[in-house]
Amino acid sequence: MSEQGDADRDPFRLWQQSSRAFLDSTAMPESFRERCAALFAAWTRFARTYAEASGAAGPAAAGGPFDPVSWMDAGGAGGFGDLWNWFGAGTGSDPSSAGRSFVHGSAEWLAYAAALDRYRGVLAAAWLRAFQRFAAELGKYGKAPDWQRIQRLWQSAADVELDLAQRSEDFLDAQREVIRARLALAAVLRKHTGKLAELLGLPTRAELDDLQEAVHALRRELRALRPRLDPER
Amino acid sequence: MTGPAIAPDPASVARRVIALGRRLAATRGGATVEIATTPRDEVWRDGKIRLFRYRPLADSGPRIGPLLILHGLIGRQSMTDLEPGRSLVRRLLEAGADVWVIDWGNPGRGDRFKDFTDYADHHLGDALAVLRAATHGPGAALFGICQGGTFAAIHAARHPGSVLGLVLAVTPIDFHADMHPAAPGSPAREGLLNLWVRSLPPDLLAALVDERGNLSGQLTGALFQQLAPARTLAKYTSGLIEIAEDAEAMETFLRMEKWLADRPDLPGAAAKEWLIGLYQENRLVHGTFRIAGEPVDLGAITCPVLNIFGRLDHIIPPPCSRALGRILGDRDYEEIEAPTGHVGVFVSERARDIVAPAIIRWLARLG
Repeated sequence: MSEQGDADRDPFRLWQQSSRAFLDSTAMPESFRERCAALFAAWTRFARTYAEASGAAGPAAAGGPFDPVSWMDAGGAGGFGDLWNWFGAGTGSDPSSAGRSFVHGSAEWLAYAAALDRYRGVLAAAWLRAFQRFAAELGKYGKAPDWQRIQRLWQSAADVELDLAQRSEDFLDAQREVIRARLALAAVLRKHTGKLAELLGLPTRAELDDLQEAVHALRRELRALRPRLDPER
Repeated sequence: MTGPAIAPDPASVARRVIALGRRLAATRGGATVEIATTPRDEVWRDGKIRLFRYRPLADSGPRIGPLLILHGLIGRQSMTDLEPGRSLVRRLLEAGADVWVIDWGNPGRGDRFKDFTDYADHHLGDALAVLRAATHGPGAALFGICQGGTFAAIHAARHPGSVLGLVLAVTPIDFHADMHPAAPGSPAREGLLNLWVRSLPPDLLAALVDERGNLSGQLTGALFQQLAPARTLAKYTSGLIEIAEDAEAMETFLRMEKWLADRPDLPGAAAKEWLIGLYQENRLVHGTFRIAGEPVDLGAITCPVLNIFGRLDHIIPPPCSRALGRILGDRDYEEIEAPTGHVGVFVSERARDIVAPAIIRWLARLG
């Protein structure tokens, strides 16, 4: 497999790229409005790209929307790249982007990056196995089946491999570690933000939490008193 | 891998993509996609929590019920009224049921200290009191969905006199039932979500919730998508192209997306009870889950129970729901199996002729 270039002729590399892009995303769409807008943008670009490719070289050379190879364009230059981005819902859902400058180089950042890489690695390997399973199944056909069958084959292969992977101890351990590292990193960010709030004379999150806890306790006490205030109720 | 036989006709694809783009643009950011349109009136409000009563659709007015629908905070109650043609609420109203629904609103960080005592006991109790006063009747049957079913079962166990009947749908009761073989000799099939939650140490789960104060609705939505990533991927790519020219299927897709995107946060204290007390420690079936300081005994449920589950439910494995039958023994308990997944129980064509008729028949028998 080549490391760079000629990616469109190297399905395995393309596959890894797409898996990576999917895993890079956090699948946390912010709102329905953003979903629709992103889908619209993605499909508009896709239509243009697909039409150009089809016009230039015909469907065989261009691949097609149901050809897994074309799903692998994760770079954002063609329609599906936008979809990958849409899954990630922009940088707002990236837990680390907001305070990256604060923490780059910190022990927490390095631990988080390492844990995330391991987590992605476990899943990327599963996507790769899914593709291998899919390719093996497809190879059993004398001639290429129609796209609907191809899609069913692909989904079935991916479902099996991802389910196996996501139940494995390797995955569960990687998941535990990435959550732990992510929380440690968030604590560093919070510490910085707390200092800033203190400097500006703003209430910190902990202070607001104390206030809200007191309000909740008061509401409970009020409820307990209610039968005495309104015996009819 | 590429070849003419694989790729569909480019002209057809281009046409579908254009249709898809037009339809998505016409949603104007979702503003034109409407869900939960069955007419209803707000009867009561306490902060973010609201109680609604649906207007009758049957000519003769309400004949059966009342039935109070409550979803949990993992999804919204609008699932039962997603679109007119697939609305469970409409089917119930057309059959003459007096239907009510609780909307828990959107909990914010300020609600992080709310727990199961608040939702399953206090708020639900308040809503039932309002309903009783408005109907001048003895109470209502509860229709609890998913986590809302857990709330409803807890309430029925603690206040048997005020719950006339209990309909549960895709409701977890025994959170460890998926660990046991469905039949002797067959392998156990653990729920993936159950496995994930069980695999995390309690202190890590608590820290995950504390980090944002509440369990983020976006996070739970992402986890549900991650349970079947290939299906998720296909849904937004090839699946969309397939339905691009089918106006009805496209409307259903958009309505479902609107529902999926509107996922509230689960308040922190309730989230910890849910994840640690129930998913990890399975306290409800052990009799150690506490509400207002007292243990909940599900065996104290005395009203008739209708328990609906999805055979293919990958979020709440069927054994986790069906465990209630074991607890209630030979009491008035009935199960209905829908040949669907979790959400399909409410919107699938396959469940259409099973779920609504079963509830209507059961409500009519309740009197």
